[in-house]
Amino acid sequence: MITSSNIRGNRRLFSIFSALFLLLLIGYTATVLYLTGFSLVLLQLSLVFLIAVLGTGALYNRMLQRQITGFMDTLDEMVDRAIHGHERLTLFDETRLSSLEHKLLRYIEMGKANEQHLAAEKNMIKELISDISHQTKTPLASILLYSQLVAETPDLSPDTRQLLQQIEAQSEKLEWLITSLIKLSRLETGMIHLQSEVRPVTATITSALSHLYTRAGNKNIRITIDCDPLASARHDYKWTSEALFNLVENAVKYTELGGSIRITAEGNEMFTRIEVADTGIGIPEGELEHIFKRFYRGHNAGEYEGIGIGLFLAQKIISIQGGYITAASQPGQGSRLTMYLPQL
Amino acid sequence: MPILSTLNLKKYYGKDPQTTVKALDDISLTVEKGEFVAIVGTSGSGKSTLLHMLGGLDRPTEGKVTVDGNELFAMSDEKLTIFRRRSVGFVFQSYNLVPILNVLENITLPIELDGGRIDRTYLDEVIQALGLQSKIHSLPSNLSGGQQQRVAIARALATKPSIILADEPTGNLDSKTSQEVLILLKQMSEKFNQTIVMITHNESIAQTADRIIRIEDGHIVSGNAAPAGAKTL
Amino acid sequence: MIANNNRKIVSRLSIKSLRVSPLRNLAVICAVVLTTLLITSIFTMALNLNKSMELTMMKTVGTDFHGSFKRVSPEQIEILKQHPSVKEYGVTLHAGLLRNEVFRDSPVEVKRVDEASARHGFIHFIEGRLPEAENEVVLSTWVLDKLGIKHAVGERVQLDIDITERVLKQDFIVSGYYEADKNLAIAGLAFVSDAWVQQNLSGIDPAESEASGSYVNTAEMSVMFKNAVDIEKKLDKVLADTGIDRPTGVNWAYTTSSLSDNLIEFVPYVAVIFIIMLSGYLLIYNIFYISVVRDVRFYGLLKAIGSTPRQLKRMIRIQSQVLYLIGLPFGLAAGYVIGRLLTPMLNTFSSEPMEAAYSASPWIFIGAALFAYLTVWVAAGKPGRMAARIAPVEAVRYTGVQEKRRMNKRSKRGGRLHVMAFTNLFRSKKKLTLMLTSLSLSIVLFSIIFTVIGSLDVNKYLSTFLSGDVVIRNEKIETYEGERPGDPYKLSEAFSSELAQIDGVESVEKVYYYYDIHDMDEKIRAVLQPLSETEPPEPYLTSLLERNSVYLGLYGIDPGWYDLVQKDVIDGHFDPQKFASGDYVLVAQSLMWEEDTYTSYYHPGDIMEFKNLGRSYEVMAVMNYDALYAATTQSFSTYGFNAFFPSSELTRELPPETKRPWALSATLHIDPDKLDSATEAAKSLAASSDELVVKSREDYRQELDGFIRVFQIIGYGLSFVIALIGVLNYINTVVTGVIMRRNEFALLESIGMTKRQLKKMLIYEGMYNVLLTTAITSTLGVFLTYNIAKSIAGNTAFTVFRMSWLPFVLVIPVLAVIAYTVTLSSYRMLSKDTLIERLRQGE
Repeated sequence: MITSSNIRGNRRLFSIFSALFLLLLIGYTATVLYLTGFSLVLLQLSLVFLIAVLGTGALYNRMLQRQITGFMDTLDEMVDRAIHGHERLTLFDETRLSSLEHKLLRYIEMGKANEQHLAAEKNMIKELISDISHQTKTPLASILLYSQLVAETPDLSPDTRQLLQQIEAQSEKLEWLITSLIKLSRLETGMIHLQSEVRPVTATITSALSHLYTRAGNKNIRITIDCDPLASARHDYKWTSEALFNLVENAVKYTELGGSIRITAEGNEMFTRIEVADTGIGIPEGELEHIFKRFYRGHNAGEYEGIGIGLFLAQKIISIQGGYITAASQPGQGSRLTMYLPQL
Repeated sequence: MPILSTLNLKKYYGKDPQTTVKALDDISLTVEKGEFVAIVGTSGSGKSTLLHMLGGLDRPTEGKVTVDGNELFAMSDEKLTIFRRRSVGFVFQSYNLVPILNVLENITLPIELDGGRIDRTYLDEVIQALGLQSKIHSLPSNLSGGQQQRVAIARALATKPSIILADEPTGNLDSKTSQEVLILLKQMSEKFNQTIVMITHNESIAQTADRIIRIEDGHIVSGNAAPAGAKTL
Repeated sequence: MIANNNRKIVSRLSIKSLRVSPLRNLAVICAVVLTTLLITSIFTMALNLNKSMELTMMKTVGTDFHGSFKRVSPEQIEILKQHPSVKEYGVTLHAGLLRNEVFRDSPVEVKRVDEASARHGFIHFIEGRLPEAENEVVLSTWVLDKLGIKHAVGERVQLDIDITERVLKQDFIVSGYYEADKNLAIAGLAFVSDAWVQQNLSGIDPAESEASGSYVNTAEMSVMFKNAVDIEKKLDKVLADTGIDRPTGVNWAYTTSSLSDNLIEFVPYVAVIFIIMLSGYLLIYNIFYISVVRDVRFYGLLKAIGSTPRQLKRMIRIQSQVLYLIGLPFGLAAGYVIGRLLTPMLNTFSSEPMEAAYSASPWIFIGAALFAYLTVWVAAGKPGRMAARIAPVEAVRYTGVQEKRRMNKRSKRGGRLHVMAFTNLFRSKKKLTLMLTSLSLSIVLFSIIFTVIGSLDVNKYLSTFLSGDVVIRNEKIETYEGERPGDPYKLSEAFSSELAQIDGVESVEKVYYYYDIHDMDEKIRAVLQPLSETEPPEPYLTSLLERNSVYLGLYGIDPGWYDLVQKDVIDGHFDPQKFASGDYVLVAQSLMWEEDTYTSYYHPGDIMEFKNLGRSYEVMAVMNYDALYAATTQSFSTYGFNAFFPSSELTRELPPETKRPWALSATLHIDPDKLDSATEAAKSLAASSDELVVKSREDYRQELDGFIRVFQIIGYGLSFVIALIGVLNYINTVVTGVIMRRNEFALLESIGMTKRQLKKMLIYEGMYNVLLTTAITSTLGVFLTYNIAKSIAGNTAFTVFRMSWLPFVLVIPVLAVIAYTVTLSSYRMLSKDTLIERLRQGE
């Protein structure tokens, strides 16, 4: 193991060894000189010898260092090759490197297999979801049908009728819940394929609002659209429209009678903004960051209908397209939700 | 993706055409990665010989064996041995263990031969799963046949090889232990993406495999569902 | 890059696998010990021999100083001793010679020495010290004995010292004495004090005495350099540096004493070591081979799990190294001890008396360890490679080491046991030939050595030294480094007649000797001149041609010798009666410069003139250069030759310039009944003089016995080792074979062959092996033994070729027994497993 203390230790070892080596050399040459009597030739020879040995030693040391760095380079390359799936560096050699490479490749392989398992599981989930949606449609439709049929029975007592209404309402809610959940799961598992293209947002906005005029009208809420006809963004028409619908629906939901909603759209440098401002009950500051979470319902929203996934869905849809939704609000005065879509 | 494939594998004994024994007669098969293949057949049908070929233990008279893209018999003896050491786990019918080493040493032998570090956690898991904890320092001569077999299986799993070749691994085990061993093998193979090729005459065990290859007189008679594109190896 | 650090597991596996087979380990360790032991002892003996020779040389020279400056003045000594290369020095002053009557034949020089010279001159005082007072003297023990003085300090002794101008008779007191070998040095020594020198020699001028040749009062300074390399150059350098010009002397003990001078002498040592290593290799190789074969499954399993071939090879290597390290110290220690014990025996081989010196040089151990390691390394190499190549499938399926070739043998009578056995034998031709060769080789070698030793003949040896029963020789005549002082005429007529009068002596045969400087005649020139024209010219020959002479040994022999002449005659015919007339000469061949070349200058019928004998003779016959060896001085001059006359020719009146021939020896032929008494009498007669040495047949026989004993020990030992190795090899092969075929045996048993039948078949196989081996040894083996042993025995002086049949006869029963027991026990070892287990192993 190479730790910092080890490095120091190694260096110390190295200096000890070099000192020893030097000592031996000098000791030997000195002894030789002493025994054979002093002569200039011998001294020169010994000096040359000393230098030669030291030089060779240093050279060898340098070569060793080079070897070690070389080895690390090879190791590096081996790992790179393994990561990128290129051809192996060694093949069943009796070396440490080969052993290591084999180990690495083996683990990468196992990882890949896991990946494949996961992919297979994902596929299974996809199928599960479509199965659910198929399977639930029928019973649900039957429930609705039968409750309607029962509702058409003459001479039903008002209590019974109320109960039936409840059944109908709840069934519709259930249907809506299931559809949302399916949409949600589709989004989460990446099953939804968005077809984004650059197009003017006007149409998208119009489409989103088309279903809401009635409801807004019922609550006497005025909707104004201020849209730059040239404003366009890269988006999936259908899904973005749905996301926008969710935003506006929320605005309608949480605005009292006689309120107003204003929708503006304009293009900027990089993004196109679509803003939905309402004069509704607003969102307390503490809750602003949580509103986009799955199944989140604000404290004030208790009386209103909804499950709390509309914004989540919208956020998901927009972010998949590379956009973003922000929210600003003044409790009691209104909220402003802004959708940013990429222009290109 | 095939991890194992043979092409026209032949193993003949004897030179004289009248007395030649054809242990394997033109066998071509493929095994996919992660598959669990059972090889069945009557005695002398060549099952063991085939298994030996797949592991590079014996050289064929003719034909090729390719494992994970490496043609086995084009490799030198040295490389072939190292290949076996790292990529194959063997469980033989008998005489699996090195008599002079104790159980633990036997299990870690392939790892040590490769000079590698021993993954104690994993090994303990395997030893536990096979019920060998109390015997790890015993010598093979002090173990029953079934225990020896379990040690061999532990050894085969020790290096987490890509392929496990087993020749009647549950032959000496009672039915309960056989089941347990099989479950263990399957678990391991799934976890570590291993391919198992097992010779067995136990029908119930064979049924648990993904594929059953039946061999008779050196030929494959059924189970060789080699995909059409597997001609080129 | 960066090798895998899997060394630990390989070492661990190796060592653990060692524990499994203690028997095999023991076998390998024993083999290592044996090999190391043998190599170490050879090395030890060689080095000891070397050291002994060195020591002896030095003792002969008298000192172990490297060199000396002769006849230097005290001032010069002062200057010389300052020179940096002079590490030690000693000064001796020559004072004179002892002229006491008893020292007439053995000269004793008188010197004044200092402490350093005494130390380097091997003077170790038994008691006392160097002389200080004017009347103190130090003498050696034999000098004391000659003077009849007790070995004690303070004894009074009278010495006559000749200082050339006069002889000083003076009483001395022994201040110390030491042990010295009378025969080793050329002259004895006596040491006087400086005081005495000052008193008596101060008047003598060293320059004068140098000029006169007496060297009295001249000092010699001996020096010790850092090492014995280039002594002469070092001496010259000192002289050059100091500007002094004096003669120098180099201690020739340092230049002439090593074995390495004569490379030829190395060959037998090298050959022996090679044989040892080969045998060690075979043993260890076999053991590891068996072990690998036995453990095929183990190695196969390791390979299947992932041990590379290289790792398996390392396992075998590590095993061999561990076993080597265990066995090494024992082998080294035992080898050294044995070598040391055997050294004195080797010393008796050399012609000169040698004192045993021992070397404890670390090179012995390093060298032996290295050679032994080399053996082990090579031996474990092939089994290591075998283990590396094992197919991993062997772990799962055991059919033994794959046999590449399968023999499809069809035979009608295949089922019969002995036929099966016979066929089995030839399954692997290579193995069969290898085993047969190794076994036969061992047996043949054994028989050769055995035969040669059995041919040792005492009488032949003896007859080279003496022809009769007792011989009295005048040793002083034997010239090899100039004459020794002594009386060459000691063997006078008077003495001879005394000898003849000893009861039991039947005849006294004398030999006379004359060292003749002979003028070259045309015949000699005719041979030598062309020889001198070769390139490069041989200096000795050139100098002879210049001087126009060759050196001859002229011998006058008594009639008792005539019987021995004929066997050495090469050319011509020996007629004793004609020879006795005195007109004829027997001429021996000449020794040429090149070894083992002899030529004769003359042919029968030629006339030769011997100026120094005053007449010419006709050559009757030409003989071997070493003819009548027992009668000669046993030294031969190059380009010269020996010539034999009847003794009358040398005892008669000769020309006045000719020096009187010497009586070299007198050989007594004694009545066998009176042998002992006569020998005693002769010995006591000769005891009085130093020069005369009496040797009886018995004496020689005892010498020879010692010699023979040494020879026998070494010879039998060697042959035993070789035979042992062959047998061990055989055992190894059999065991390997049985083990490798165990599966086959199990198979045979399972199809219905009973154990007994199987055993029978194996025994048949063993017997066939023995039969084949016997067939080879009794034909080729006998042939080789006969020829080789004959040529060896024929060439040495003490062997008469006698074919020994014992080894060949022994082969059959011994091998049979071994084959039987080994086969059975290895089979029994196998069949410990039950049949099913053995078959199962092959599934």
